[in-house]
Amino acid sequence: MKRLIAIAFCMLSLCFLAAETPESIMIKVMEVQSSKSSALDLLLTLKDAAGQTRERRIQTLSFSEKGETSTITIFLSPASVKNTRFLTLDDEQWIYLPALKRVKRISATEEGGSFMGSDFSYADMDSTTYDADQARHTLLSESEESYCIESVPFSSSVYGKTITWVDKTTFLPLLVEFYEKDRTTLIKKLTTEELDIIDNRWITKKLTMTTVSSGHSTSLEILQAKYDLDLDEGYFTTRFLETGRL
Amino acid sequence: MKRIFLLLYLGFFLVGAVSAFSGFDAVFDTEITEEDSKKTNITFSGSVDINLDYFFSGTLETSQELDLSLLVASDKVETEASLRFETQTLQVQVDNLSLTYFSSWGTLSLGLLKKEWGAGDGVHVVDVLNAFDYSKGFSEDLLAMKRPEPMALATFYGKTSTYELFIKPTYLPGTIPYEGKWSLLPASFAATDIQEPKTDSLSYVQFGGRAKTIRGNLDLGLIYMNGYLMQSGYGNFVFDYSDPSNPFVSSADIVYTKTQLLGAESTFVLGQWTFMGEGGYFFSEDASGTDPSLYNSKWVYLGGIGYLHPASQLYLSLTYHGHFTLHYDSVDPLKLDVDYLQAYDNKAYGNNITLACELPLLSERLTLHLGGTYQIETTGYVLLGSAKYAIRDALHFIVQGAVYGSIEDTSSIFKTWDVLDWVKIGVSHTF
Repeated sequence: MKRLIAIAFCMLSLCFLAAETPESIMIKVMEVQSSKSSALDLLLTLKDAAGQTRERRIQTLSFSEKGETSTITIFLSPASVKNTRFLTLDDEQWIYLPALKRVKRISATEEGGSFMGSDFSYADMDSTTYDADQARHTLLSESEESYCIESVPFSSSVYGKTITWVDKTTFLPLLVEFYEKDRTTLIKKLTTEELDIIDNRWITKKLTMTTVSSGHSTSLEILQAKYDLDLDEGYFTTRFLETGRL
Repeated sequence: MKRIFLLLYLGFFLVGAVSAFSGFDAVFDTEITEEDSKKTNITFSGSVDINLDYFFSGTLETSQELDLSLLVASDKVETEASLRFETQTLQVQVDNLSLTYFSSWGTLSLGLLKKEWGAGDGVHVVDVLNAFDYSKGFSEDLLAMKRPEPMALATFYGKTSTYELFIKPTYLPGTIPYEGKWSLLPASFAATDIQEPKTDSLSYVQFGGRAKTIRGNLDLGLIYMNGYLMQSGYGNFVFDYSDPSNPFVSSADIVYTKTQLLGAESTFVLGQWTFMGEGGYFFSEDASGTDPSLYNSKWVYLGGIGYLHPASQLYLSLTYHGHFTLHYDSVDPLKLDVDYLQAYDNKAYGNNITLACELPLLSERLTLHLGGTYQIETTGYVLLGSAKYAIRDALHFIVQGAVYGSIEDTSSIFKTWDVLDWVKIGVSHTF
């Protein structure tokens, strides 16, 4: 009998250990999307309600160390912004304007602002989900394929809440709904359209953000991605920002 | 001198590069970016502008402008030529003709260059590398008003510091229009034969440098320049007394003032707020203020604050800037002293407030700009505004305008151009 009880206890413990909490799910969501360093070649296709499209292409390198993230981004198209470069060192940001051949320090707190006129905000480009310590997560429902989790940020954020459908296999977001601060008005929807495996990891290759009120949408496609690569520190300097060369 | 630059430029152009920088080519797989690299090895770009200008004095003008840029880039060398052709003047202007060599220590640029120094938003007091062209009034685009000047500019990079050294073998003064609707010549000089000295010789050599460093939220720069003031001085006046009751200046020589600048610039960012500062001392060859044809020494200062609204990306900036001329005699000024001629309301100081704002709308299809400067002593002002709508990424519809004037009837550049308020509509196609 004791042995049976012990076996039952162990089984129960394993069940508890295996069961996902909303926090552990969202931690995994963040983990599968994070890396020490990354290189992304991105194409943004902006589509207005009338169906007219405009394209923007950017490449970005990112490197994290000791909790600080350095990012350098270059705009490749359209022609009006070609070779504009952004350097972000933790909370500090500089822009290089090729027409002026000038580096200028700028305010980095434009989280809610539109990124290049797209439906993505600067905050969305950083992350579309919240970590366990950034929001209160609640499991709303669960199906065979996905978890549905509501996240209410602890501190003031661009959004009042988000609802994320997380793929059970890859732990990548399949759909994210972004709500106003009143937590009832839906502002935007992010839909995953294509997944891919790169460097032995699942990534969201193509996703579309739609602004509900205007019908305007932006598709973001990863043309190339590399993770955990050795990036030269020289990329994250004002020298590279100004010259475009190591 | 121009021929030497042209030959140098063409020489370097021919030895220029084989592969070009296109994003992070070294990081991404070549099979995808190789094609892009080939395309950008030689980049040909430009724009065609067709405008209709209406001056509220009743004049309607059309203008067409063609800008062409050729860029050849490699890992080590980048050559660039930018030309502008205007149908109104039928002249080709060189906007940039440069060669840049990239090395492990930094860069070396040679050619006809434009460079902006200073921390302010579109207005500076220590931006001394290029003189301005006032032949079309004020423009929102500070760089477009600058005259490219022959220079060599070396830039050295440290981990958080940048050091620039320049040498300009000659001197290119600002363009002050003496005739036409934008003329800034006082009425008393209307019949004056003005002689301009030749400044394209090595006797006008200028040099200087800037050191910039990053300290947390602060960018700090120190500037030194040994050269000439942009503003023209006047001397050797010859008076015509043929009508004794109404003598006038029949001839005058333009004189340029040799000066040294010790300056500083800083930018401090705190959240959405950006604080900008510039200051400096122009140590004139006429430090005692005794030569009426030369400008006296002066202090210059600028303080600005910028605010970025995170959600709308509305950017607003407010700048206070001015100068204080030393040894200025406001009680009994020589009426032909250049410091008096350039003074605001016969005061040793001049102070200005500049406001600028930019607002992107409709997913950045429409961009609104509004700027204005108010000259406190003379109550003169200029307001500049524009709306730029992207019909397509490469095709823009543009409405621009400017209003000049002064609240009180006090002489100033803004008052002089009071009748030149204008509005322009046009289309711009970039390729």
